[in-house]
Amino acid sequence: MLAFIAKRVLSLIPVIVVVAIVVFMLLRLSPGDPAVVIAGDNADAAAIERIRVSLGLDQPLVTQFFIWAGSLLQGDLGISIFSKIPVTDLILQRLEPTVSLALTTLFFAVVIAVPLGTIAGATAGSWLDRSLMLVSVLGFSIPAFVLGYCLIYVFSLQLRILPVQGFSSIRQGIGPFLSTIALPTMTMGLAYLVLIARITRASVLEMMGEDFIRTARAKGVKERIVVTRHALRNSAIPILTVIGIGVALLISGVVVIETVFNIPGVGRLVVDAILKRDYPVIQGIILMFSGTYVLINLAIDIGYAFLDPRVRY
Amino acid sequence: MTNLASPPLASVSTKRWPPPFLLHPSVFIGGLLVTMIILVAVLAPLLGTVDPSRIAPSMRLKPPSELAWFGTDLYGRDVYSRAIYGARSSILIGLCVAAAALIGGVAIGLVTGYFRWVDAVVMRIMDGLMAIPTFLLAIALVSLTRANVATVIVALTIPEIPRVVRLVRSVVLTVREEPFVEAAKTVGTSTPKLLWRHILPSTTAPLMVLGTYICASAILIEAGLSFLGTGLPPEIPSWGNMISEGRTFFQVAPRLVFLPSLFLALTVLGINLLGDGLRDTLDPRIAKRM
Repeated sequence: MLAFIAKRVLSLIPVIVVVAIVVFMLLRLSPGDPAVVIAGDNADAAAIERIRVSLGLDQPLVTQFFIWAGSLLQGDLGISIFSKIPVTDLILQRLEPTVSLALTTLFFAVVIAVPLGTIAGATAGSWLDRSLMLVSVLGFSIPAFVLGYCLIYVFSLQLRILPVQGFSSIRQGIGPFLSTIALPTMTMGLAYLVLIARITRASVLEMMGEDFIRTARAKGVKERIVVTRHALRNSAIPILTVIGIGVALLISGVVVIETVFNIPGVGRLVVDAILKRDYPVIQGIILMFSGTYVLINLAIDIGYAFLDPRVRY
Repeated sequence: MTNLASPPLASVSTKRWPPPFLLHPSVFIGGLLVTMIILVAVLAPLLGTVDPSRIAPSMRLKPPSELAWFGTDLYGRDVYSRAIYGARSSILIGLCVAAAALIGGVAIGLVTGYFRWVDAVVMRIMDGLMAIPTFLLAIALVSLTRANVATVIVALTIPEIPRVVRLVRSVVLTVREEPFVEAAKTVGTSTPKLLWRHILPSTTAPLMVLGTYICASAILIEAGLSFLGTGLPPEIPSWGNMISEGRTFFQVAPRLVFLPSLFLALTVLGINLLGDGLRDTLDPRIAKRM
């Protein structure tokens, strides 16, 4: 078991190194001299030179990379060009709305998708199954921001039951929190939901054809138990895998959805940074999101090994 | 076995028209939608449109009328014409990104799948690129330069290449061990010819399917970038730009957002249906590779 975990963790090192190189190159490839950008419009040549030396920009590229990677390992993501605040602090300030939204979306999608996909898979060909497949193609085709505006139109402008925009922290009461986060959650959740439902359906359907299902039925096990205990349980691995892969959808989702609903989270922070070309902030957020994605998928990989001893090959 | 009269030879010819896969409902509906959007893009000047960039300050935010079928936007430009011309940007970007990602991915995938020594290095790079969520990588790449059609295409292609490489590599790894490849090697076929003539053809069916998904994803991401104000410059009519400009007036004139959204969703739906249909009809094994 320990050997398995160690192997998985070690296999991440090249991935993380490549991500770091790509993100590092992003700043170096950006137009203009970073020292000039950081110094601002009114700086003289001496000030620019000072910044260049203090940032190590006079060193060879490889040396620069190691200096940068070294401070990265100490949790230092650099300083924002515009606000002069450390990037780590900027991200931490904006983390709460984004994490709240990601968690409610995860909950919303999984709680609906898994039962729906299971029933569809167990009753393949039924009207429910067919409509799920239809909705799933639609769910992949409607861009999140378009869906967001449709929901705002119906729930906020026509029915007037939910606020148009904004975010209210859970610490200010559960009511305002739920009413502001409901529409963003549904908007972001649809694509994730249909993705999970599709995989759940496919793997439950595959399990339903297995011998152990026939055996269970022959023993006289109730159909409901056959589906949940035997078919669904054995589908746990593909379902967990797709939940992990789908985190990429959530990350793209927050970037767009936080703009649609005016939520002051990390997604909005990265969009603002890109519009202002604040490269240290862009780099820091890409690293944070990619790191989260990689670690969640690592956790799921290790989770398999606990769930299913056959995985430890 | 009662009817022994065999049908005339011509009708058993292998070239049947229409080929059976076209009759699959997804392929049919998806193909129809895609054909229509391509026609709209090509025939844009003939579809009752006016110049999509013509600014008319006296006509700002007018409701639909006989002159402007879907009204006008903030600058008095005709919303209908902009939506029709917007098809051009989306289709162009979708097709170019799909083509570029397939060509790049096939080249890298063939080489890495076939030569073991390149494999380890290239696949680690691909794994690293795939660890950065597609949308984020695209938006970061666009931020490096002034966005125009060419840079958006490059920025959307790079994140898609690893998916193509993985697929091609997985096909090459299985085909490489097949007897016909052994046979070709034995008679002294050169490596480039072996890759091109004997291994590449096995990848065409799954690549067609992946190509449609990349095209759909590129159109969605481009719209997302333009929506955030980091995609195509605002003077190019594109659905993402229209939604982005229209969202400020969403409460007074939701049509500014809904018309381009409808075009966008129908286009992506058509391409996705086509892809799903091709996946189901071309080769049932493809689904496992995707």
